Amino acid sequence: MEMSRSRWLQLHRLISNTRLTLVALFITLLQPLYALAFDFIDADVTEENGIFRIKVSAVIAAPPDYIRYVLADSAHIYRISPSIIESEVLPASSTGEKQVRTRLLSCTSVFCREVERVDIVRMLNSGDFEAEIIPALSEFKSGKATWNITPMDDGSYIVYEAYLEPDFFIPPVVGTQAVIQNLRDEFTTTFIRIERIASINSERDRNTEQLLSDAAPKTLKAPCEQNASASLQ
Amino acid sequence: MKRQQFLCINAVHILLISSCATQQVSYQDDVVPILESRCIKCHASPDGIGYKATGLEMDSYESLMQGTVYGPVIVAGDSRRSILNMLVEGRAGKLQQMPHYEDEALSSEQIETLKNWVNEGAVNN
Repeated sequence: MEMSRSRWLQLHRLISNTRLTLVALFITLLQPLYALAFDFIDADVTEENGIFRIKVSAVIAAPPDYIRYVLADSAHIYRISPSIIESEVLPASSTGEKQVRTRLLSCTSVFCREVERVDIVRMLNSGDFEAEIIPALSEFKSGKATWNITPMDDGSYIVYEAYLEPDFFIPPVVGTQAVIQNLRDEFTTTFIRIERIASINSERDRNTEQLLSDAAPKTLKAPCEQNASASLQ
Repeated sequence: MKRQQFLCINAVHILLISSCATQQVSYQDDVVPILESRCIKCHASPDGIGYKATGLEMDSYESLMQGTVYGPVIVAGDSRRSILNMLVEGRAGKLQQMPHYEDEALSSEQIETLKNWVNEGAVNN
């Protein structure tokens, strides 16, 4: 009798825990719904002779200018990449270009490593972005990335292309595959975050514009009334 | 006699190690006082400057773990990747270092406490 009671209690606990787990799972599933608005068209990472080539294209549910703002906001660059553990906007280069230092923590199932890089970040006349690694200040022999952003319906179509030539040892085969997987995962998260930040900022501005236009008749009325009363005196 | 001495020394070592291992940072006793004295002024709803800017509210464990409108600021178990730790430690540059509107950065003890709390899983204990 006692045995069956304790078993019943165990079962009850298990059901309660399962219920809690299901609720937690449901809540967790609800969270990324917002992020699911973006759509990967292509995410390709390859390696040849120690050079990693990345091409990611995606449709993002945010206007191009807001995406550009997120990419240009180097002071908050840590918001978009889960690997960034340090970031700093350095004084401009001798040619007046923006330089950004980042320290990345790259962990795979095979190894974990912190990597330093300094990029020159340029916004091109076309509205695209370019980031070029400065090898002398980085743990990369070379590297360059471009962000091509074009409007598409209510959102944007982004093509990210980059190559990276690490100047540190990566264990062959298994290590290379792990890095490829890691880069894929990281870019998925980065695109989700860019979309999230750009959408929030866009929404915030839309609300502010709405508030301003709602408030406009009142603010406009006051000076008119003042002028009217002044002229009457 | 030597064997007893050896056993005794070992026992003391084990006790010391186990006491160190179990000494966990408490959210209520160690973390909340830091947040209350250094962060909540700006990160409280509805008028805190930090709250208005990013939506980060620090007056409850749940809101702290929820993070900003842009996403969580704590990665439980990983202070290196946690934005909260990054910002108080000044790892995102001097201009981003928290707290923004005070001359003094957090003391090294306060920074260490937050780091250990996050590394220990950022639990509500």
